[in-house]
Amino acid sequence: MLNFIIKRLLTSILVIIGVTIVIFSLVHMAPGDPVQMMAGLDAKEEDIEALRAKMGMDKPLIVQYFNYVKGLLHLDLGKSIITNKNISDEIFFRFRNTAELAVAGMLISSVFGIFIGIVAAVNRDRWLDKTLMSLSITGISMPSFLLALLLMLLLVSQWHLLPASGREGSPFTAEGFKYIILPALTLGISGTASIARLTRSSVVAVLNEEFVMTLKAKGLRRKMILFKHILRNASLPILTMIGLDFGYLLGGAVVTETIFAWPGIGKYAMDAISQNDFPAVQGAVLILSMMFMLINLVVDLLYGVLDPRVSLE
Amino acid sequence: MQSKALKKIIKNPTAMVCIALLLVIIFACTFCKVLAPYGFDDQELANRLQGPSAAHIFGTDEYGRDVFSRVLYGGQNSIVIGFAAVVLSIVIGGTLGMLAGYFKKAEAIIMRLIDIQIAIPGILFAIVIVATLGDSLINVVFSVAIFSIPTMTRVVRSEVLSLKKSEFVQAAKTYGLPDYRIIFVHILPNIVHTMIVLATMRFASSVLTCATLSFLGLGVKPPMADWGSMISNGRLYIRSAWWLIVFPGAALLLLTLVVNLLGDALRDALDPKVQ
Repeated sequence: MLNFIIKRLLTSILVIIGVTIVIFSLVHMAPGDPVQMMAGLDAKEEDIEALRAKMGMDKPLIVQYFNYVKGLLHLDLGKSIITNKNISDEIFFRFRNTAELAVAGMLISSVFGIFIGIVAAVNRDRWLDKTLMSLSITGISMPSFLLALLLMLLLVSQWHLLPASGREGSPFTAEGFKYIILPALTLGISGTASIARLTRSSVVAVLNEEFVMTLKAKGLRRKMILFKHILRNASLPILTMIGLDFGYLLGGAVVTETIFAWPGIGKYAMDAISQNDFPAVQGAVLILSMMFMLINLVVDLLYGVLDPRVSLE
Repeated sequence: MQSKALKKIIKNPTAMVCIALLLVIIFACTFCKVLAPYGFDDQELANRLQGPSAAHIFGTDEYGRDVFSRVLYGGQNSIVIGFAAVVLSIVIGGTLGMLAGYFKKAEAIIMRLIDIQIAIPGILFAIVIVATLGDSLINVVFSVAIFSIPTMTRVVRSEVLSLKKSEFVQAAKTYGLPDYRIIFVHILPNIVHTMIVLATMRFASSVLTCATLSFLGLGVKPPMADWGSMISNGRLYIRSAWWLIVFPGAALLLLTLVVNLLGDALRDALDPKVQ
């Protein structure tokens, strides 16, 4: 187990180094001179050069990259070229908002997805199964921004039930809760659809196994068989899906956070992109990628707990 | 085997309806110049923001442009970009997957590269590529394709890995056939069906990614019509002009739904292994 964790951590570090290289190169291929932007359009040539030297941007790219990595090791993501604020502070400040939304979305998608999947599997090939599965493939085909706007159209513009956008205080208060409903539903619904489909197929696969027949023959109650034996055996692929989906939520949050003006890392990244604030983009992408990898690591470790047959070595 | 799969598809009513609908959509969007009652940028400012009527069945937008015509033109862009992105991802992902599956030395490097790519949230990666490299058509196609490459590579690799152990490949090796011949003549034909199923599914997600990019203002530029940017414009009039969001949205949903359903049917008929 310990060996596995160490090995996984080492590969994760390699992958993170790779991510920094990819993002760093992409950002440096962007058109425009960030130093010029920081100094302002009417800055003198020598001021720009002085600023460039001060920021270390006059050095070769490879040196700049190593300086960047050195900064990262001190949790320093650099400064925004628009606001001149520390990017790590800005992201840290928004981290909680993104996490709130991703967790809310994941709760919706896993609770509803697993429930719908089980109901469909138990009623397999009946009309209920067919209806639920048609709904879920529609959910998968629906782009999140369209879903967001349709929810807004109905719940905000037509029925005036919820506020359109923003975040007002913690979602654990009555007022703040209203604000998280729409973005969380938007994030949750597409995940619900894919988790429901996977749960159905995993449960159906286990239902056909011989040990289920034996349990039935032994006269165990159906609920007991379903929850204690079938679900546990079907849980591995579902768990993987939830993990992947959570990562997808983090990335997909870029769109949802932008539409609902939810002040998270995704919206920060999107704002930074529209202002050509590339150091900020770089920081936001790196943090989102690291969160994604961490979640996948946790999912891999949970495998061993859920299924002793999986050898982690 | 192949004719059996064909029979299975013909017998499946959902699949047949999907194929028919898909053909209608492709036909309508390909011949949009002939079929659309107006051009994509024909403005009639006197008729701006009119609801659906006999003259404009999907209504008009804020410049008095016909929404129906713009939906047709927008569909053409979505289909072309989605198709090009899938082809690109098959070429890149398929090649990487075959190399990784066949050559042990290549495997370690390729799969680490794929790991790096998977770690960066897909849509964000696409956004950053378009934002930094510019939103030319080629960059948009590339950034959409990059979304599908990891899945393509992983699936092809695992197929090749299992085929490599099969007796006919072992026999071909003992026979002294060169690697490229084994890959192209013996392995490739056996994974084509998996790739078809996967490509169908990825086409739907490519169309979605492309629409998301243009919804965010990256990608197809106005006044060119695109479903994503049309929906994004409609946001401003969400209280008064629902048709600006609902019709392009319905078109987008219809296309991805039809393709996804078709992908499911193809998978059932051709290859029960792909998830």
